[in-house]
Amino acid sequence: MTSGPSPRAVDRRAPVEKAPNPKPVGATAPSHGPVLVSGASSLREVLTALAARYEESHAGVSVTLNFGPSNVLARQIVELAPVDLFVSADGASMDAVEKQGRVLPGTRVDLLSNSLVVVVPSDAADPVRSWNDLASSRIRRIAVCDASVPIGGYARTWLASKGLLARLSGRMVRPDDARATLAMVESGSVDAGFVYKTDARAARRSRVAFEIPSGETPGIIYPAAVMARGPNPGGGKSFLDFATTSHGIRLFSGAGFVVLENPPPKTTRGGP
Amino acid sequence: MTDALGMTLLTLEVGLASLAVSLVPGLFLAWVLARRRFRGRALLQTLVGLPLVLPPVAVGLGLLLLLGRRGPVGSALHRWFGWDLLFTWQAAAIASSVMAFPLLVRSAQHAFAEVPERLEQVASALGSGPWRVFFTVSLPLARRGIVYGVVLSFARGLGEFGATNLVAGSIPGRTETLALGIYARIQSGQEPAALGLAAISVLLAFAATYASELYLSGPSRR
Repeated sequence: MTSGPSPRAVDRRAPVEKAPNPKPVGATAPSHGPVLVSGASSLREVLTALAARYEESHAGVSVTLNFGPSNVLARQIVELAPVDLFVSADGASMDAVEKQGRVLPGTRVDLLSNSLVVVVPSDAADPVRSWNDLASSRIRRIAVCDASVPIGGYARTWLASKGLLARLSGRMVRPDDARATLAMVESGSVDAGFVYKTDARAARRSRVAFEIPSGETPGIIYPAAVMARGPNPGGGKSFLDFATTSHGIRLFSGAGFVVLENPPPKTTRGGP
Repeated sequence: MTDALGMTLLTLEVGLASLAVSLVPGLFLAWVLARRRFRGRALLQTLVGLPLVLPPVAVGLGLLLLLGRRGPVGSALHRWFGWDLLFTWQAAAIASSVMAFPLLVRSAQHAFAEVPERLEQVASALGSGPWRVFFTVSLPLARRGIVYGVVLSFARGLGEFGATNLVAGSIPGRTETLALGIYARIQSGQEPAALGLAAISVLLAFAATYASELYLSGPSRR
């Protein structure tokens, strides 16, 4: 496996009924049973590509993907949905899951980071160049997700820090998530919207007006953790490890994510 | 595109399963609400109609709490049969049937209520048992409203999204129905694919409705 002794230490602790010890890549028998990964919607394309790569290099293994808003995914996990690995778009959803004892100790890592951008329709008349412009009267409607969704939380915190939250609240429309926000901006039904930088790359009828400097938002972190009560924690761990190899890093960076320094999974808690 | 075919078949499977689950209880409740006066009738009527007036995601949350392994139903099923309902197409079917139930019951209820009670009484007086009366008098005379309710609830089940999403997840190939698939493709900016799936949804709904129209407007005078 990719990161030395740590996976085996975790495997010994975790009751892995269905998954045998992971075999080296290239072995003929499937190295472990099917894995189910719940990932935030903003990771849809990149996780799909990563899963395909993983299946290529781990013959016989199938990776099933489930996408949705992080808070919905977290809720499902708390109710013991059969998830092996959870990649969330914010720390809060992962904290909620961890608090309920769903996280396999020592497997939580901060995997990725992202940036917040303001997008406007491509044919917008007057350019929006900075945060001051947002308050101007030509922004009649602005799409900002609800605070319960990660991007909504980040955007609102930033708006509040600029003293704009109260002023703009009357003009806000609340899409379900970042992708819905992008769709709204592209259709021209709003004058501006907050999306992730990675989402903006898929933009065709909209463009980035400006990027919010990382220092001005709370850190946009995508934590990942193996789920202790899933059917195949060993497989989840294996997939997580794969995500931090050069294959994973290449895919994530290619999609515009910032790959955080990959600490080896902590194995300090507990004993063998 | 085999993707689309798979999704269509899954959606039909979920839709038909949800109909199969709700048909008998639905018709039974419809008849009871139409014909019987009893204490708590208004309460029952309200409960049956609840999924129609609640946001689907609220119903979905309730089902998640019930069907998850921590919940009363989920833990029992897990203990006795080893079943794990979450993230299965069966969970999608359950969510669909709950959401579509009021539509079936209400339409059938009105249909049963429209059947002149006198006819049922006459049949009964002539010696038919209650089941015979139901199958030979009530049901045939109410069939317009029942068929309408069936088609409506089937179509509703086909398009169910909010509740299904919560308990079945959105898993391509396993629980990603047409509705969820359309949403996913819009999210990834694959609009042509989304439109294609939407077209299939329209076709399915059209076919179901048209078939029912043909059936209902066929020779009916006997």
